[in-house]
Amino acid sequence: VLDAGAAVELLSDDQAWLVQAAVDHVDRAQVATCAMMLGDEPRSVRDPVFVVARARAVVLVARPDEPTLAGVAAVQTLTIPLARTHAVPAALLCTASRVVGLLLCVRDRTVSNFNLHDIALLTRIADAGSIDIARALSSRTAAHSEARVLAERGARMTTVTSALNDAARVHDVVAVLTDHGAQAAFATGALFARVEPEGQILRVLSSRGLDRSFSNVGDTIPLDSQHPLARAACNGEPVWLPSVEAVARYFLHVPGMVAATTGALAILPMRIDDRLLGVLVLRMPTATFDAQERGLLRILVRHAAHALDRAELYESERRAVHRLEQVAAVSAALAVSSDLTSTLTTITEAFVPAVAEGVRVELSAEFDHRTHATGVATDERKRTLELTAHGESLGQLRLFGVRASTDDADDTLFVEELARRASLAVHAARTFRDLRAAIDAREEFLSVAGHELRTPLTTLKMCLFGMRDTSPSEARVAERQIARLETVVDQLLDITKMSAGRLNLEPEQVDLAALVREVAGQLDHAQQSSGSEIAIRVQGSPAGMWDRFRIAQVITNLLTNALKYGGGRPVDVEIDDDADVVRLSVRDRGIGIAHDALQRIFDRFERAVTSREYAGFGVGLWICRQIVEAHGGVIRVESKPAEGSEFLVVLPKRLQSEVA
Amino acid sequence: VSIVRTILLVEDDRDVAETLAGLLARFDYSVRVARDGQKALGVLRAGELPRLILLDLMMPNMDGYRFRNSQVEDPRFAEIPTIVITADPRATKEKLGVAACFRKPFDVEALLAEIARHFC
Repeated sequence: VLDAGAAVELLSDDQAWLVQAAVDHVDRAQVATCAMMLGDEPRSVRDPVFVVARARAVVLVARPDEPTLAGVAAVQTLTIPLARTHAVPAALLCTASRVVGLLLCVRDRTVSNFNLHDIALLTRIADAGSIDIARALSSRTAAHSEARVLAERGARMTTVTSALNDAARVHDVVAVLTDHGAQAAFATGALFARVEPEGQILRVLSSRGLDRSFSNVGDTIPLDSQHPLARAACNGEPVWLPSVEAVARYFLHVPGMVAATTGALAILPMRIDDRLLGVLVLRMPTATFDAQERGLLRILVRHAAHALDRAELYESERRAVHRLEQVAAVSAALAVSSDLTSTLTTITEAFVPAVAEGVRVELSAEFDHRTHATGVATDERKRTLELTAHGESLGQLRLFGVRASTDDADDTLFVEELARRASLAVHAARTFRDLRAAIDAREEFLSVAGHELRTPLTTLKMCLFGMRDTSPSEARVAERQIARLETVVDQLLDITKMSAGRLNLEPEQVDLAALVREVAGQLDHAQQSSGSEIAIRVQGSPAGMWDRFRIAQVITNLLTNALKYGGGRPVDVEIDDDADVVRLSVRDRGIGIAHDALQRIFDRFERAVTSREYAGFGVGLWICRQIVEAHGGVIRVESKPAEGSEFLVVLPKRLQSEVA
Repeated sequence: VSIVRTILLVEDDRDVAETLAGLLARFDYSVRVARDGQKALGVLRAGELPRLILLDLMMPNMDGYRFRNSQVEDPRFAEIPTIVITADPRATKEKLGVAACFRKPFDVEALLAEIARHFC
């Protein structure tokens, strides 16, 4: 219309910049000569052209030597380098209320300069355009602010989500939910109630920014009640109450609860699949609960539900591991306490303080109503467990001030398991006590039996000695029979002791060579009657911590056998000192042992020859093996029929129990 | 001669005591029998000091172990040679600190030889 080039510059939102928005009909030469006016660099408030925008009028930017147009303000003081050939008027783009920008024109002065008519037209174009631009700008601003809210919500949601991901325990999840979660939803109050593990009750775990009459932490709401939260929870769908009236209607049956509640409420059940985990209640000062808001809250609750589920799983796993560790520790402690006193101490220590504040074990009449208690016997949260083992009642275990978490089904099982182990330990301790008494009684019996069996033999032996002169042959026969009886008595007592696996060793420093010589000396008579002679060869100084009496028994047995089955030929004894062990070899050149008998020769009531040929119980070598093995040693035999036998005993110099 | 060949036999079993005393008498020993440690101590305290004591261990009232303790505590009796005769397989002369230890039923000849050794 003006036969001119034009550019539109718009004021930024913060009013700090003028930014070129459009340029048309301006050629490159014009831009080059009027770069200051037509360049696309944003203008700051310090730019001279900004002054134009502030003038709120059409301004003809002119050179100082240019004539001005009447009625048109000219900004001649501007030090804008303008080309002679171009005229550049500028019109402000503004509505009644605000400045939106600047409209610049450019025309080749040599063709025609701007006149008043042109300026009036420019003003009208600017005015008309301003309204459209202002409308467009304002709708853009609205869109911007909505986007800002969304972005803000998004950012808050991200914060909540990441905080929920980091929350390991139920307590942490609840804290995140009622703090960051409420913030993300622009809520000023929040309440979270969790479904208790048994699944029948909602328990309020956190409540902030809501009136105390609404609900307090620790309150419980039965899920099958008509309470609005229970109804909403069971229904499973969020309840949106955007106004005070809507809230009042929903909480009609809970008077007093809503009185102090203002604004809007969202009741959000938390579920995973069909499983209800809890309910989140959010209070906002204002809310429309439009589709977008509902969507965000649903996402928030879904995230929270998964975080809560994960936290519950984590906590229950930790509890389970902790319980297992406790049960293992208690079992280990009970396993090593064999007497009743230490068993009772271990039991009470297992329950206090881990499970209860106080415990008292009351045993039955069979234990003389013995009791053992520790901790504080409070009057609250008491529980009594029966102590039974193998169908037998042993007493009772009373717990006082049972820890709160033991309401949970798993904890109940845990406490019962502890009680079961305690029962078994009490039972075992009693068995051990009875066994101990039985063993003591048997030891006593064996000792008396030994005394009572040997004493009459002593008298008989002395009587026979006196009869040697008068009836020599009868006396000799009777003495042989008494010798047999002696052997049988000793063996009977040994078998009784060893069959019960009970061989009490009394270790002392023993010189094996000296002991062998001593035993051989006692067998002088047997050597003479058998015709075999015992030759002893010793290497080193073989000695160790052994039971002298029992080792002498082994030597006696091996030497007696060698003389008995040695066929009158020499018997060689070799004793070697070898680092940690001592070796004793007894070799005869007699009848030997059949190959098939070698395997069972150390068994009880076994012998390689028939009992008619040689007297004895057939337990001598079995007793030897028991003694050698009790010392941690080994006994073995090598033999060939008609060539003789070699018995080898290897004894560690120290007993294993002593080494330990 | 008979006065110096005195033996105090401490043994609760009547048959053992009588038989052994009879046997020893045949070898010209003068034997005084005490039925337990208490009575044996009474004999010693009465001033009848034997050349040798033959001591059983398992006895009522005062057993051989307690008698032996009392004996060695009293300098008047401590040096009297003592031979233990017992059914306890674990008793040794080293443990008891005595001249010899014979296990019942003992070899009569060996016991007589040991006794004779103390009267040389």
